[in-house]
Amino acid sequence: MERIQWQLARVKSIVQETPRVKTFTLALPHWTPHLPGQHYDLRLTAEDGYQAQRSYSIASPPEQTGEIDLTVELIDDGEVSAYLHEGITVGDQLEVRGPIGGYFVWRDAMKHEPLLLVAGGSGVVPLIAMLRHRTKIGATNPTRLLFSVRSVEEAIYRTELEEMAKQDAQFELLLTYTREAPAGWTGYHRRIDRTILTDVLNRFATQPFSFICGPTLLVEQVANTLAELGLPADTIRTERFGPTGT
Amino acid sequence: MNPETDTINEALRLDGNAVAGDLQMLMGFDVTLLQAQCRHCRKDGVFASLIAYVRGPGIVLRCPTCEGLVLQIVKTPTSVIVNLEGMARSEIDLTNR
Ligand SMILES: Cc1cc2nc3c(=O)[nH]c(=O)nc-3n(C[C@H](O)[C@H](O)[C@H](O)COP(=O)(O)OP(=O)(O)OC[C@H]3O[C@@H](n4cnc5c(N)ncnc54)[C@H](O)[C@@H]3O)c2cc1C
Ligand SMILES: [Zn+2]
Repeated sequence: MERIQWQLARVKSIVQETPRVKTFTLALPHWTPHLPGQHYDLRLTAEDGYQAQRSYSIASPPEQTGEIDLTVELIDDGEVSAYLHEGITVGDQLEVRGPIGGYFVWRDAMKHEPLLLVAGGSGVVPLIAMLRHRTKIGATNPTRLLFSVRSVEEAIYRTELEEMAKQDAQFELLLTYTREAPAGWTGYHRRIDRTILTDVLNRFATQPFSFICGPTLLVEQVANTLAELGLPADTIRTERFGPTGT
Repeated sequence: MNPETDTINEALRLDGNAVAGDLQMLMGFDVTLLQAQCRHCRKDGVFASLIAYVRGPGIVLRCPTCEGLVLQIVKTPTSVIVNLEGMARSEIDLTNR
């Protein structure tokens, strides 16, 4: 694992993903290949020297070289996310360091194991990197994403995920809407609970390796329930984002 | 116990992943896969699953089983103080998985 240093990235492009979420593509002077699931730390420095530091997961797969995509949800009165959403435009510079972390990562050695991904809100960001990379390497392991969102409008990467599910018979997208569901919706329409998790586990022929990410309370509840449902603790990996999201 | 502040504290709780950047910068390696043993309850666990509070004056890492203090990092303008008293033993798996 390499030493990491702060570096100045240049904002190459900004995409509005949902009304509250933007993806920032950052060109890095010292890009190093990352593992899907890793994150960067981002640091803002005010003129008086005050600094605020936050972590953001890498959304892009390592095949996208020289740059990284960070997908950031706007949090009401959120210090850093509000500044990124309202104060940053293409061409600006941002201080980042990474890639960071070796635990919440999907490694190529796992490409034959069934995979369960569970996300709440922006917790889908490290998981999309895993899914994009999985597609790039042509993995055919049975894979399911259980994705909890408030409404259709707030489902980050929804079009891409639906397309992925159409193209790849081994990948299934399972959305659950915690507020409004679209008209005619027959899928899950509540917060993730034991019944939903039992149902999702039953869709696997053998026990999957799992990655859970999103708001802290969702992550802990899902991880505890999966353990109670019989998944070995060392096959459940978690990453808490704090109070963000659904 | 104040139920309202308890819920806020719970929601703000992070884990070892969130402090990996600071520690990698400090030590030169990724700590998330370290196997660490809690001195208080003797339970073994991976560093990434420790509970982290990063909004105080420093960083506090607690055992997910007994909530005992495992590691504390305090940054001053001129130094970083790491208190490892709560860690009984730690081990790195060099096979990288
Ligand atoms: C490893 C990791 C990866 C992450 N990846 C992503 C990602 O890919 N995308 C993403 O959008 N986010 C991600 N996050 C979350 C991100 O790091 C920030 O926490 C998030 O952007 C909010 O930061 P902020 O400065 O905007 O909000 P903050 O100013 O930190 O506030 C966030 C919310 O918490 C409340 N709050 C803050 N401090 C307190 C306090 N002391 N007491 C009570 N309430 C408080 C605020 O009122 C607000 O509602 C990740 C977090 C981690 C740990
Ligand atoms: Zn303990």
